[in-house]
Amino acid sequence: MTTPALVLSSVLFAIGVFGVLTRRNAITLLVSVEIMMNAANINLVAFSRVHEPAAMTGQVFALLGIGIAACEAAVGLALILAVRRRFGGTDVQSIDLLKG
Amino acid sequence: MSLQDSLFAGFGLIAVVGALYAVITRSLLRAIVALGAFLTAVAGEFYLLSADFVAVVQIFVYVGGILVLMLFALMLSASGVRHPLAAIDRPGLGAVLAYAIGGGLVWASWTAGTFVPAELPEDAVGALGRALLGTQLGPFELIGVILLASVIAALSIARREQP
Repeated sequence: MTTPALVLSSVLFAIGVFGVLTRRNAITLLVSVEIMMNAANINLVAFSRVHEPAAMTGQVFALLGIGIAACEAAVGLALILAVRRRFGGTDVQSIDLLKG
Repeated sequence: MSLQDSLFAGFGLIAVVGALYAVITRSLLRAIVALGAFLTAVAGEFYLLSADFVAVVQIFVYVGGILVLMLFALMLSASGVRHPLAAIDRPGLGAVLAYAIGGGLVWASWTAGTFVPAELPEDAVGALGRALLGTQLGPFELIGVILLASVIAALSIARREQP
């Protein structure tokens, strides 16, 4: 079942890329990034079964990836709240303080 | 097609539809709920790929933690419930790039050859725990430090500035 998992994770990653490229709301951007991280985790878990399953390296890396995603969501959502307070909205196009 | 294969296909379908809906819908609340369906389906895929513990952690951390955090952010920023989101920006460019990346990845995984899944050890969760506290102890300790740092960072960023 490795190849179907790889294909599934490729499709999910492409959907995440589409979301990051086309959405303008910061929270939707975060949702798209989470979709991409989940696609990567599916890949890690699928290969964990193929490559030395007794060492469990792939599953450990998937767990670490979930932890990193939790950190990223916490900091990202705090940033979104700060941006919302400063600019009155979560549209990423409205953040233009550094624009020349 | 065995039961496992049909379950894999079903969870995969839920995941793809949920992800697509989360990416294209104009309601932020619906996007987050669709993300919940997607994350649960991915947990099912983990279980079918014989990663039971990762599936449970996915439910606990993603569905129980990150999703609730996003709902809180939605409520605190209150920008999504009544006002619909802006329409998709430059969908053509995004679709072309996503299609190129996704097509390339699917082609690469399809032509990567056949993989033979090896037998898992008898006590898979025990082996995972021994790996976490044995050979992978360094990264496991580091992730705790990173979590602490990110919690402190989130608190200091989101704190209301003193007037």
